[in-house]
Amino acid sequence: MTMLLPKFELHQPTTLAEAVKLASAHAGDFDFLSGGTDLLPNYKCGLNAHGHVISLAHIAELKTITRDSIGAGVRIVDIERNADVPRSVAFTAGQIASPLLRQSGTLGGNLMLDNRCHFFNQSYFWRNSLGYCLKADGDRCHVVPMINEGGKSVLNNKVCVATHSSDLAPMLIALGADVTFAGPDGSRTIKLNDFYYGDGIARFEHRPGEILVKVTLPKSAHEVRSGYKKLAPRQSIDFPVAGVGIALELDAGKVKSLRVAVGAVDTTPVLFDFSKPANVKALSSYLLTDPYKNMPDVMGKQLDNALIETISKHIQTQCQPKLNVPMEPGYRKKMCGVLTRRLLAELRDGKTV
Amino acid sequence: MSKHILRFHVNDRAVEVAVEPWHTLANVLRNDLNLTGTKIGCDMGTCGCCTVHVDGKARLSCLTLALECQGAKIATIEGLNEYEIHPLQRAFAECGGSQCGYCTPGFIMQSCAMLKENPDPTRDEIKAGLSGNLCRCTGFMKIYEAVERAATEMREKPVSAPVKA
Ligand SMILES: Cc1cc2nc3c(=O)[nH]c(=O)nc-3n(C[C@H](O)[C@H](O)[C@H](O)COP(=O)(O)OP(=O)(O)OC[C@H]3O[C@@H](n4cnc5c(N)ncnc54)[C@H](O)[C@@H]3O)c2cc1C
Ligand code: SF4
Ligand code: FES
Ligand code: FES
Repeated sequence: MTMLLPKFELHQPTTLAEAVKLASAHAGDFDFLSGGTDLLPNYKCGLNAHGHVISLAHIAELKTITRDSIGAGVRIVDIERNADVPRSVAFTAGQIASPLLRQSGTLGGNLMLDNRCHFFNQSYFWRNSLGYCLKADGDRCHVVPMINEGGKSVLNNKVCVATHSSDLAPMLIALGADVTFAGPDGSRTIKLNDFYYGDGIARFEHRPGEILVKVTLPKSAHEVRSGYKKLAPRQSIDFPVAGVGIALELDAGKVKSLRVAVGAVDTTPVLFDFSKPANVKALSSYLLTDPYKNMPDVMGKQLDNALIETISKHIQTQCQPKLNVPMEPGYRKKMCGVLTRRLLAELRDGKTV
Repeated sequence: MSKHILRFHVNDRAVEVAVEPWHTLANVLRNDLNLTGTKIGCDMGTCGCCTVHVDGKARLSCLTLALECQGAKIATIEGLNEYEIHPLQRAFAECGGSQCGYCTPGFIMQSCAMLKENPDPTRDEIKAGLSGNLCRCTGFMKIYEAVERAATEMREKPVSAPVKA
């Protein structure tokens, strides 16, 4: 069945500066295109399409990959097969979609992936029959139809809970990666974790016209024990419905630092930073998952099975998956704990991916 | 919004065609160039039917804009081997790796790209390599057998390069 793309004008800049300029010229009516494996399916469904598409595929500045930094235009397959990036990052890249999609998809597109929902990722015809939703063309949410406002239950015309579905984001957040953007006001670098913010529509603190240039890994990313585990209906093709990335440091079997990032359970990946629960960024008020509520103190403790159980119980309790992607929220919630427990035991026992 | 001229090579022939910016490579191959061997199954990246080679790499033509292939070398199932049946094609036929045949061009193009990188894959490597292609008829086992048989044949007797027209 052929699904027609909506009409748009295609721009193919070859430098970053040119792309930034084009974005300013078409402000409000454009999308960037990298590998196209997320944008084009969404366009085919008539989801928030724009009149101009600016391709980033011909910009050499976005395509370098080294030990410590990965350009936004680097294809997923080239991360998967790279021997210099941390093994956990290459492994996670290999968990994304299918070999064919990894050949087209890029890091930038993976981190800027649109959130997913049963009521959103559907054809125009399908959505038309039920009535559109907040995230595209409509004024209500079919997943959370009512919200509490001042003690009264009112129609939800404000908050979208579409699920963040990138595999690499939680792994890179656990490793403490930074992201660099180029925009009309120059470039800026922020923590990847601080970038994700807000509900299923806002998704991140992204300033209009900004291009993701690269992801930078701290030196520690090569030193810590790290890994990723994904839950999906099938082992290939499918998006994650829960994904756990962990970076762990042990000192004689005792926890020196522990960062667990969980993907595909909320509108953004959720970081459980057991090392520094004190100075955390204010959490998005939309996020239903609160990583720091009753967080157990694990620092300096022996990472035995009992402690692993405590940590995974905490993660299981706090994660709040919604009924808007495949598989039951209750099952996914439980699996967040199970994946954490298995991965922590593997990392402690020195099993690498 | 107007058509743009796309100049590229398809199955070793230089081609010039006027295309709309929103047409995918699959649309252009099938509708403008009449190369209907490339199939469109889902048109959403989930089935692998539309697999072709772009500059030697297997790519989903349904998620590739035609104009993004400016100057590229495309190979489709029609160009796999013009004058002689390709070992992969023969193995798929002989092993029963093709029933309705709709998925077959995609499977063969992906297998071909995979065997170029790894001429002697294990059964697990074949499974992983073909895990982005779906077949609703054969049950996959015969497809894996066909790829194994073709791989053996191609290692013993390399395929002659397609003849340039
Ligand atoms: C069937 C199917 C299964 C999939 N399974 C998975 C999966 O299991 N796990 C997973 O993580 N993903 C999955 N994906 C999503 C997707 O294939 C990957 O995330 C891929 O890496 C996206 O990259 P892209 O370059 O193709 O993105 P594009 O479609 O090109 O872009 C996606 C979005 O990011 C924006 N963007 C891209 N690059 C930049 C940049 N440099 N600066 C600013 N904005 C940018 C685009 O404007 C667009 O909004 C799947 C997709 C499909 C179709
Ligand atoms: S969660 Fe978001 S995408 Fe899903 S129905 Fe509600 S508003 Fe729409
Ligand atoms: S038609 Fe391209 S993947 Fe299904
Ligand atoms: S032979 Fe019918 S889909 Fe594969």
